[in-house]
Amino acid sequence: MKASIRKLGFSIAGLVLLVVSGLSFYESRHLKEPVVLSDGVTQVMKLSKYFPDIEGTANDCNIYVLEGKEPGATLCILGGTHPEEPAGRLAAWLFAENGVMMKGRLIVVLSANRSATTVTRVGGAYPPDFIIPSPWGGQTFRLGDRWSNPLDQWPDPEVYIHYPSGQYLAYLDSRNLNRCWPGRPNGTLTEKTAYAFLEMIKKEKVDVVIDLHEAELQYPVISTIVTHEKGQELAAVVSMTLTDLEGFKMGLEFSPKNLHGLSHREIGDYSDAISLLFEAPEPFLDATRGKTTTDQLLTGKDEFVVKAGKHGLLFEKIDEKGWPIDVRVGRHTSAILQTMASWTEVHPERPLLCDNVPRYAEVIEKGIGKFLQDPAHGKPGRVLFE
Amino acid sequence: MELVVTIIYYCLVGFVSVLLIYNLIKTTEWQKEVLYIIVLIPFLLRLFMLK
Amino acid sequence: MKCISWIITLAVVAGFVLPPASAQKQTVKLDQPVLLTSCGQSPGPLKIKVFFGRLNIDYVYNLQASAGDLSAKKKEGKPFKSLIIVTGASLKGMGASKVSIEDELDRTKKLIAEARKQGMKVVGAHVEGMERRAQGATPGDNSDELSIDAVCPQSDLLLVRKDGDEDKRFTAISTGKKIPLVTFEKNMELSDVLKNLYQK
Repeated sequence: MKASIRKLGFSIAGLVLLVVSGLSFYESRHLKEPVVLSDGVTQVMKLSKYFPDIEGTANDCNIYVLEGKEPGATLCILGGTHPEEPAGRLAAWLFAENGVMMKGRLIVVLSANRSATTVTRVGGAYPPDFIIPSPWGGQTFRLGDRWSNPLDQWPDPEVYIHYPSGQYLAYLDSRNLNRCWPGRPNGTLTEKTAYAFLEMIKKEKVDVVIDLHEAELQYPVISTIVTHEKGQELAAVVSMTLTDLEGFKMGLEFSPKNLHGLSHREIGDYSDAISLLFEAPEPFLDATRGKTTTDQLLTGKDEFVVKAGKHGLLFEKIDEKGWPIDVRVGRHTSAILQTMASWTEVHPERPLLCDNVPRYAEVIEKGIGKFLQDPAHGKPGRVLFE
Repeated sequence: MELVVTIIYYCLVGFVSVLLIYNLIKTTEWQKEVLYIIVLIPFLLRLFMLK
Repeated sequence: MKCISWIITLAVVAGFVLPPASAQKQTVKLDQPVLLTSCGQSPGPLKIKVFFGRLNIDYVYNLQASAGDLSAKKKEGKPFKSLIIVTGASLKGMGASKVSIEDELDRTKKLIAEARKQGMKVVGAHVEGMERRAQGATPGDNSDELSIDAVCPQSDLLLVRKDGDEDKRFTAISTGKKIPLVTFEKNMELSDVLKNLYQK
């Protein structure tokens, strides 16, 4: 009898743990992120428009189209390939909620790997979400992980063999959108997602694709543009102009031809588009970090990462000021706007010009929240959810 | 094919969960009871598609 | 007497001020066509290429240019007149090209030897700042510095972005080997620098 009561007690405790944690995971996975469409957004589609097999899955994300007042080229921004790199998503968000294309067309994706936004790093102790304060209160965003949610794609293979190159990659990368390009129609969810995006890029005749990322300071590819060979000169001009005029250094790296699965390689190889990938520093990702908190995520301040820097272990500088999210987002918005300007210099007959999106200095001065719109005051039909 | 493998894996999770519950009921050692419950929780979270 | 000592003082001061100022003045002129290459496979040469295109300078861009390319052009009767080697190593770039830093150093050595044989001017450049030097390197990786050592002391002119000379490395090479050093602060200044170098 005593044993039964004890067993019952333990089971109830376990059940409580199960329910509490389960509810937390459920709420996190289904957290609604409002997007208040700017007046410049002329159309919102689903990714499944380009590949019906993806319909109804977690990765059937929204595609926001901003058609320009005058015709021109088409540029696509991919935010959320790695949702644990929030500056990419937030920069894309600023375009979707504020951008007005004067010339050319902009396609914005906020959750390229939407499944990955619904899970956090196993064993990483990530906070499930974070709040960007704004004049009207604040907006909560899912933090996410680097890889698709195992609830959406499981099991993982022993070794991930990339299609079509046959390159062997770590098993986890079968759920990493940025290792699944160009994708395939009969593959895993993540491969299908990459395939769907490539179909979109080809059908919409996208000229330039920009994939937004962040990187740990221990990683050598940081604060840089990685460019496919088709975009080398464009990337060189963008890198030089940003470094000269906007007060932050932006490097340049070539996309290695023998490293497969990444957007900067495969989009350029499998479509007519120029593919670029922008990296900003994110101390939250560093293995040497201290506490994994939303404060660390948003301020980029970490004494342990600073210490690693003093020991010469980092590829980017960090001090007590850290790397605030506003700085990281501002780098991305400026880099995107400069890409448009540099493209237009060389292709005046097919221009790109976007208005109403803040550049680096303005994002830092006013904060990202200033440019997030209040969903409570959004016009009917102009508030969607990611 | 991928869906078939996923279903098989969920069946495996269900099977292991049943084994853990069976052993939880059968055991008389309190340390093992705690262990079975701790190990069972992530299996149930996966079975109920929560985590 | 007082007047003479003032004149002498002014002359001495001018002697200190003028030489450093003239180090920035471009006294070296270069001829076209140019062979633009790399020692270390970094994207640095691309920055120069962009301006060459805008300035309509006659150039060939080949990150893996060899001594054979120089001699082949000479045999055709259209020899290169100047050689720009951009230093700074990229492990990614070398990996993609399937070369090691030793391969790069060997190729560069032969390239410079052939250039000397043909009597062409060699420019050692470093245009990416400290990110393409110690700050950008894995601990223990000195490939950036090796590429600089292989090219710069053997050059007729050094072309360096100022922030890459924080530790005065290039200044030391320039002073020690009596090689003119041209520095620029902003990337966009490269346009004027190259225009002046190649102006007839």
